[in-house]
Amino acid sequence: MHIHIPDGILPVWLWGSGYLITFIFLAFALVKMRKDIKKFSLVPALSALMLVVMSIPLGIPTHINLAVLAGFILGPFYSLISDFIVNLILASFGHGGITLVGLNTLVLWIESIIGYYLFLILKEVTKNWFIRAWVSTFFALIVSTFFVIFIVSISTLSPEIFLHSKLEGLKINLQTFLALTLPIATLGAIIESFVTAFAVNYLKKIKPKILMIR
Amino acid sequence: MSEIYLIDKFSSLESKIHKLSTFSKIIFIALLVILNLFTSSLLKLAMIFFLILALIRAAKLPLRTLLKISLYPLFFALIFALSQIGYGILPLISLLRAWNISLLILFLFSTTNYLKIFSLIGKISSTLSTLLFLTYRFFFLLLEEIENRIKAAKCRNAFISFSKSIKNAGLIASQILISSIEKSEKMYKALLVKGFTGRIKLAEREEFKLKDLLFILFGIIIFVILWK
Amino acid sequence: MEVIKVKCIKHRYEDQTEVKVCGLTFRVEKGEKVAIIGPNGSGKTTLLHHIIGLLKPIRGEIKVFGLSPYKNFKKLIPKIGVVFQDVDYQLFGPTVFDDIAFVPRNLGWSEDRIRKEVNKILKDFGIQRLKNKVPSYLSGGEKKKVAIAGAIVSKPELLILDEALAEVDPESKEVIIKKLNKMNKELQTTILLVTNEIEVIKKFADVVYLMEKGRIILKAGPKELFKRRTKIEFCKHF
Repeated sequence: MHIHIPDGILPVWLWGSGYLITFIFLAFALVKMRKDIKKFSLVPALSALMLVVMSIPLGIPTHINLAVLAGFILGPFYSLISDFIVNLILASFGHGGITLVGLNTLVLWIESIIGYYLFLILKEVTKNWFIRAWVSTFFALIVSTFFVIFIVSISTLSPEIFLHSKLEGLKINLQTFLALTLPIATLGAIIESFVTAFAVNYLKKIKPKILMIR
Repeated sequence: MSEIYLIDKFSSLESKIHKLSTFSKIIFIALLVILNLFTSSLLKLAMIFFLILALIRAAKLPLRTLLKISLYPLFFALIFALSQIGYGILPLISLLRAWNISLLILFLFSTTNYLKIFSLIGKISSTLSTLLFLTYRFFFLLLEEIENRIKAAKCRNAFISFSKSIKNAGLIASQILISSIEKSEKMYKALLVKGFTGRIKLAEREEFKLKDLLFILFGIIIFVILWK
Repeated sequence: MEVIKVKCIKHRYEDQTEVKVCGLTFRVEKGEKVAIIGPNGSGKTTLLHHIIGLLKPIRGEIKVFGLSPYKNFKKLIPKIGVVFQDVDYQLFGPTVFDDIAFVPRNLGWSEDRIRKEVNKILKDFGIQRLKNKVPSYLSGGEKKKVAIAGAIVSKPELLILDEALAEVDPESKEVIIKKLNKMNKELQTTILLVTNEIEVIKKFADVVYLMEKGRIILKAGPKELFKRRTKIEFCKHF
C-alpha cells in the first residue's frame, strides 16, 4: 500500500520521524550496495518497473506497487533502496507527498520484509510457489494497511502528552477514514497478490536465479 | 505515466527561472513548503497559491497542464478533507496546503533538469544519486518499450474482447518484467567492462550568481511576511 | 473501390508538438501495392499510424474502408495486418508457432484451422525449422519473417509494412515479395510498404508516394520515378 496522505496533513514530528528512521537504514543499505554491482544494476530496473506499475490506473483509488516482488528479487535489505527511490521520484513528479517519502518508504519496506520472510516460512506448509506468493503478498499488504491506519491514528494524538510541546495532533474522523480505506486497500491487495503470484511463477520458470526467495 | 515525461520536457524550456541555479530554487521552494506546513490561515494559503501560479506563468510553463497533473494528489487530499468535516474550515486548509506543496514540487522539477537535482543529492550519497539517475533512464526506456508493445498488441487484435485483453495484458506484463531484468543484466556487464566504481558524474558545477541570491532573498521576504 | 484516403492531417501530441502530413492527397485503391519512400523524419510513420488508427488527427480528412480509423479502431483492425520497424515489440508468442497463431487465436479461429494455416505459412516462408523456437532468440532477419508471417496469416484486406524488409537477406526478401505478390493477386489484398530499397520498389510496387518534411510531394509509378530520379534530391542515389 502507498499512503496517499497529502502533504500538510500529518504532524511534522510524525513524518519527520519517518524520514529519520528511513535515512538511518538507507545509509546502511547504500554502503553495503556499493560492493554488490549485480544488485546495483537490478535496483534501477526494478524501481523503474515499480514506477511504471504504480502509474497504472486500476479504476479504484489505489494502485499496485510491486514492493513485495521487489523483496522477492532484491531481498529484504536492498528492497529498501528501491522503495525509497520510487517514493522520491513519485513525490517529485506530480504524485504529491514529498513530506511523506520517509513514511511511505517504511510502509513499502514492511511489505517487502513481511512478504519475503512469510514466503520462506510458508515452505513448511506448501511447496506451491503461486499459493505461497499470493498468501505472503496479501498478508504483507494487509499488515501495511494497518500500519498506515496506525500512523494516522497516532497522528491524532497530541504529542503534548509525551513531548511537552504545543504541537497539535491531526484532526480527523478515524471511523470515516477506516471506512474509506479498508475496503479499497483489501481490493487492491487481492489484485496485487494475483499479479505478484503470476510474476513469481513466471520468473521461476524463465529466470529462477533472479529470485532471492529460492 | 506521461506526467514524468511531460515534466522532463518542461524542464528543458527556456525562461529566467529555468536559468536560476538549482540550489537557489531548492531553498526558495523549501521556504515556501515550510510556510505551507506551518500556516493555518486560509487567506495566507490562498496568497501562496496565487504566487505559485504567477511563478508558473513567469517560467513560461503550461499552467493548465501543471494544474491537471496536480489534481492527482488533490483527489487524495479530498478524501482526507471529507474525513475532517466537522472541524470548521480545516478541510479547506488541508486541501489548499496539499495543493500548494504539490504545485511547488512540480514547479521545481519543471524548471530544473533532474540531473542537477540528483547531482546535489550526490553530495550526500553518490550511490543514491547514481541509482536515481539510472532509475530515471530505465523508466523512459521502459515507457518506450511498453508503448511499443501495447501499440503492436493493439494491431494484433490483442484487446478485441475483455477476456483476450486480460490474458494478453498479463502476457505483455510478463514480457516487460523479463525485459527489465535482462536490461539490468546487460547494464551490469557494461558497468563491469567500464570499470564502474559506484559513481556516475551527473552534472557540471553550477555558478551561484547575484540573481540566485536575489531569488533566495525574495523567498525569505515572502517567508517573513507570511509567517505566523 | 477506394480503401484509403488521407488529406492534409495534423496531430498534436500531449507535449504540444505537432506533426502533419499534407501535400498531395494520399489515395489507395483496393488491390493496389503502394510503396512509400522518403528520408528519415519525412512523416511516413506518422502517416501509417494515422491510417492504422493509432493517432487521432485534429485536422484533415482520413478514411480507411470508408471509416475514420481512430474512431473505428476495433472494427477495422481485424481487417488490417501490420508489421512495424522494430519487431522485438511485436513478438508475443512463447514459440514461433504461437506467435504466428496470435492474431487468429484473438479472432477466435478454431485450433484446427489455425494449425493448417500456420503450418502452410511456415512452409511458404521456409521457416518450418523455427516452429518451436523462442522468437526473442532468433536473428533479426528471422524475427522479421516471423512478424510478417504473423501479419498475413489472418489474410487481412489491408497489409501495412513499415520497413519490414530491412535486415532480411536477399533470398528471404525474394520469398517474401513473391508471397506478397501472390496474396495481392489471389485475394486482392491492398498493401502499403514503407521502404527505401529501389529493388523492392521495382519488383513490388504499382504506385510510389514520395514524402519529404511532412508533405507528400510525388505520386508516380516505379518506372516514372526511376526516370525522374536525377531530378529528385532523395532519389538521386537510386
